[in-house]
Amino acid sequence: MANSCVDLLKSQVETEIKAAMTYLAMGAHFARDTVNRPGFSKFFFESASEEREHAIKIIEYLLMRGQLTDDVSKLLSNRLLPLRETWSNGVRALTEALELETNVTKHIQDIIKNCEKPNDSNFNDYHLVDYLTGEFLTEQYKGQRDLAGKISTLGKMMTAHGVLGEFLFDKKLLNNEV
Amino acid sequence: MLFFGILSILLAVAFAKDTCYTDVGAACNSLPKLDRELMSNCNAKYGYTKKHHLVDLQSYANANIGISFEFLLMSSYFGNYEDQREGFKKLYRKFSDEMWEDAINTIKYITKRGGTMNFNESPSFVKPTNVLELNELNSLAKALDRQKQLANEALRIHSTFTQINKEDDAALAHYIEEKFLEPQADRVRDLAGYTNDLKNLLTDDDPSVSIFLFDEYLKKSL
Ligand SMILES: [Fe+2]
Repeated sequence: MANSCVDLLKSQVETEIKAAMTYLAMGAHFARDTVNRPGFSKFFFESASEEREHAIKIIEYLLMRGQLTDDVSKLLSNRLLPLRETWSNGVRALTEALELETNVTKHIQDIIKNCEKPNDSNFNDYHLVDYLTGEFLTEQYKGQRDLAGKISTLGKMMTAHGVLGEFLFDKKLLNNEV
Repeated sequence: MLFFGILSILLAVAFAKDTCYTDVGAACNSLPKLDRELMSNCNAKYGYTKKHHLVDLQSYANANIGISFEFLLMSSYFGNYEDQREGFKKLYRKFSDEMWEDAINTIKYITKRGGTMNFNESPSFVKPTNVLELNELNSLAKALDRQKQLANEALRIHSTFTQINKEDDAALAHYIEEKFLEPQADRVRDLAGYTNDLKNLLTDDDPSVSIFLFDEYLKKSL
């Protein structure tokens, strides 16, 4: 594997974990007694664990390709923090989640570009490019579509009914009905 | 009868201060603009959390997150083709998963008791390490130390709830006992056993076969 390609792929591990931390903070925010949106909280806690699984998938791929023999410690910085700890409402959190995912997708596309034509080698890493495209980009687009749909539904419910709309949407989210 | 009526009204007034019920009454009588402050007693804080923030649990959750990532990286190291120890990899991955779940559950408990999570509350009882490329025995020693640090901190937090502040919050104490103290005792004991077994096996003339067998045992037993 080309060095620049490996470095980019390694940095993706931290990108995924950072996303996990922000989702964790969202889960914590919506679990507060004065916020009380258990559906949102559950959704974001689950998203946090999914992001952690993505990081693990990348690590497993690196191991499969013979990497990480002496530098696992450098994969993650010591204290990884969420982007923020409070959100003004559900739409704002979902919108930030969508921005976050769009950013992750951009990162993956950058890795694909580089690993197909590394600037430091002639090695076109077909397999990694295929894996990232097939596994990760598919997940990303599905996730982005899901978030966009949720933002639309919630937005519509709130235009006429405001807080009631969010209350109802939250209960639907809790039962995976939306 | 009238006496009891008056008494109960007087009692209601006397005990009504800083309750959610009086907040709601005041809010509804004065037809105010929507204001959270008017409902400041309508929260889930009682017992220990009525007066104290759960700062220790916040930093404990953060410690669990950090240690979960450490175990994830330790596990990954044993998965590389040179080290190739699937048992060790599995053991540390299991710890990583468990610490991650513990962190989420701690956050949930903090909010259950009316608190908020603070991700900036850094744990002072645990120093992060930068070297996670450890050999088999050293990794077991490291894991044992980590689990003991977590267990000792859980004991300390438990004692602040039960003794130091004289709050005697049994609910909080029970949570720590059930979710942390019990599983931690098991983890510490298991790791102490592994460490001693492996150390004794290494005195063999050809330790590589011993480590291979021990790793295979770990893999099968988990
Ligand atoms: Fe992801």
